[in-house]
Amino acid sequence: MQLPKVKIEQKILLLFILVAIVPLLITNFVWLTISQNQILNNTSTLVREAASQGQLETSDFLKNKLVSLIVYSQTLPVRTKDIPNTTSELQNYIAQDPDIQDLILLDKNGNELVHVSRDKVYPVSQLKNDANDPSFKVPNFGGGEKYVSPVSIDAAGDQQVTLSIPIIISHNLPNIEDMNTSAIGTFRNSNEIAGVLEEKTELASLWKQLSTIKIDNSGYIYVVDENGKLIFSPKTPTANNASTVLNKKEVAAFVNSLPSTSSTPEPVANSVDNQGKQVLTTYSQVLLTQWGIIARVPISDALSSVRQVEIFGIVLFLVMLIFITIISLGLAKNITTPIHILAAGAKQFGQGNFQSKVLINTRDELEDLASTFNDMAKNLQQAFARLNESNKKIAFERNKADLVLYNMTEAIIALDEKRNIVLFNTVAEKLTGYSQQEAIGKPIESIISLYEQDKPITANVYAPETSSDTAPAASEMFSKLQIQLQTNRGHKLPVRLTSVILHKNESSDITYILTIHDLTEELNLEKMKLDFVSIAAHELRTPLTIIRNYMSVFREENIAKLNNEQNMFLDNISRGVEQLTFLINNILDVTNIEKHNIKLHPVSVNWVGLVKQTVTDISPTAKSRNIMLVFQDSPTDLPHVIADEMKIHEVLANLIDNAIKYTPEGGRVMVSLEKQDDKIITHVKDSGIGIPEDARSHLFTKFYRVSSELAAGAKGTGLGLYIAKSIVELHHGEIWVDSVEGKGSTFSFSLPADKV
Amino acid sequence: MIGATPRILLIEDEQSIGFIYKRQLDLAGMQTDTFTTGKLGLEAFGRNSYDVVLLDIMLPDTNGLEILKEIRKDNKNAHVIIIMLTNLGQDSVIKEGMTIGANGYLIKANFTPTQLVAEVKNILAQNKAPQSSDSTKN
Repeated sequence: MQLPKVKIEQKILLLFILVAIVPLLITNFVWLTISQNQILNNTSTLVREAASQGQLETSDFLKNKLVSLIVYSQTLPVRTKDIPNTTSELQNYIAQDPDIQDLILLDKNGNELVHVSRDKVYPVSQLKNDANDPSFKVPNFGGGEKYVSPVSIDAAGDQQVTLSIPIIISHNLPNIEDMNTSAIGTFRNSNEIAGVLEEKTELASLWKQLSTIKIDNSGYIYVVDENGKLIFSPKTPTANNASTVLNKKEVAAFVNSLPSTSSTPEPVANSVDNQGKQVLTTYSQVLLTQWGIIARVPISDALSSVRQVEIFGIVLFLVMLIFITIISLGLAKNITTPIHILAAGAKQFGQGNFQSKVLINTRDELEDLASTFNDMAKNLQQAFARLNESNKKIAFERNKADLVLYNMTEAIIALDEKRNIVLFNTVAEKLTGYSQQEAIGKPIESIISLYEQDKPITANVYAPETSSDTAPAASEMFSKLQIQLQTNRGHKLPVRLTSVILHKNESSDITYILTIHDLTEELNLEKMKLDFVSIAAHELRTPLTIIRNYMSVFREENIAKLNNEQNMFLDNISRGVEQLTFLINNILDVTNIEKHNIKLHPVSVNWVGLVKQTVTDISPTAKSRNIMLVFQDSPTDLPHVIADEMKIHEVLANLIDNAIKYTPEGGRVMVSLEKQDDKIITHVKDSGIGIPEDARSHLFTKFYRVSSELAAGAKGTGLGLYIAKSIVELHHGEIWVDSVEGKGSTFSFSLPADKV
Repeated sequence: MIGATPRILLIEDEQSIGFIYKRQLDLAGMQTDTFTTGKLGLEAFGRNSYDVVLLDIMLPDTNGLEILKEIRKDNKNAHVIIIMLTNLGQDSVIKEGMTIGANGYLIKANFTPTQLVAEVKNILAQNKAPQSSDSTKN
């Protein structure tokens, strides 16, 4: 895996962030979590305290009124006839407490006996029966001797509650002052004479008190009745909504807990309300009533301080980040500046500028490095100088070799072991048409194509693979005249190729050296030579004809007049002319062969007949030299041959002439025929001196003559066998010689038999 | 048409050769007219009637083969015997001439004038007798 490229500055910055900021973040987070929990706990306590306070204040409010009423009731007359006289006293009581709206004395059947309100005394005619009023109830003595009615709405639209206590009312009893205490107790225990004192009191002052109870910013308490209907809330104008049953979880919880609800607040509940707000709530029941005090505070409220801390934390983090970035970049720069200086120095150094020095004064490892670096530059500079000097020397030597190599007249191509080109001189470029750049490194066969008579020559022929142990130091592997090199433009040049294979050599990769010599010029010269010879021979014919013609006529007409010596002169002239004719004939033949001017007209030839006839024709010559010329007739009927009659006759006659020429007097020349497969072989056997072994291979080349004592006597052009060989080969035949020195030679040639 | 004296037309550019051939032919009882150019030779052929034409192939103004073609063009010359006089090494020319209509050829370097006269006599004798066709020496 490839790590991304990170600059040192970035690495240091990353390190600082890891070391400084990450712990900070972790601490922050832990601290925030802890304080959040603590705040929630604290808020829960606040919620419970608020509920508790609300409950106490409410129950105290009611208790105080009731206690005050009970105490007051002791002073009221108990005889029925005294009751109407109590109005002024009742009015005085009302005046003491601004909350009280009405005071009513009733008998146990609900008949109002006296009714005093804050501003009015009801006349007897307006007194009524309240038995059906929901606030009317006769509390029992000795048990629940007080009653707090449900909340109702008075004529002014204010919320009020009716507090009731039992009283004694009797028609017969003496005045209360006349009774002793025990008598009263006894009396009270009798059920027969009882009444009710009702006090209708407004709740506004209580609500005012409850409104002041706050929890955090927006937490508050509110009051509901046993059915969950809202009695009081600081948030809403109460009276109008008094009938609403609140659809809130904490209200439902309170209602469900009745009637065994505690006056101490329930544990705080953490829940999500109908609006999706997370809230902390609790409830408790008000003593003497079935009212519930419910405390409620949104958590967001409670946690607002935590949020502030969080924001502060983020700001702190950002400030730290900026601060750390600045510090780390500064520090990184402090570290990287010398590195940059070093790098710049190394670059200079890489460009060969060894003079530039790296100057670093950081008093640390980097300064040491710079000084080491400078030392290295100095050493390298010296080493380079030495290297340059020796390079110059080498180049000088090399130039000499290159000068020679690239100014030769022959193409030189050197190959490595795998026959790829490693050297390619100027003439090679000229010959092949490829530039040195194109050729170097390529396999030899992709650059030069060689042909021998239109057949390709593979690299294996001129650069055979080497087994390193057997290759001699430098041996000529191949040398061939007259092959063709195809240039990159497609035309073929006649060349001579010589290849040399080298011994394996540590200091060079050259294994083969090919020398290619362009033969075009030489062949042109050769052609000019042939042309010259041809023209010369042609031009010689006419004077030759003239000599011959005139001499023969002269001789014929003067034969009788000439003496022996004169005849001998003419004989010699004649022989010279004959030889000249023969020579010119041969030269013309050779030039025709070499210029490829010879065209065969092969037909089916009766070979046996032609040989017989030739032998017969030449017999007189043989006889004159006292040589026996014999044709050994073949035992079977031989087929005809396919040949150009005139040309092949020349060959045969030439071979027989030669045999006679090289056979001493008294010798014997025998011509015989033989069939081998689909060839007819003709043998001309003489009993001459034979041909030395080393001469045989040159026998059929141009102008070659066996230098022997006998040849000196015999005249020849040295062209006859060359012509014979050329003509036989044009017939797709072969010619060869077998010879035993001192015993004679046999010249043989083959011709294709006619299949018909 | 064959009179006592056969008439020979010799076209040969080398005067000394022409001279010795004419001398020997005339000595042998023939009447020979010698010309050194093709043009003159053809003119003479138009004027006179010849039994044999000895035609050199290499002429200064034209090729002997052209004259051969010219003579053979006219059917009434079919009886005229035409023998090519050639040099050494002219095999292909000989072959061409024989196909165009020459009756034979002589290689000048190989034949003495006497041999030439013998060949001409020989061919005349062959043509005089029952119209047997061509053939000279191979």
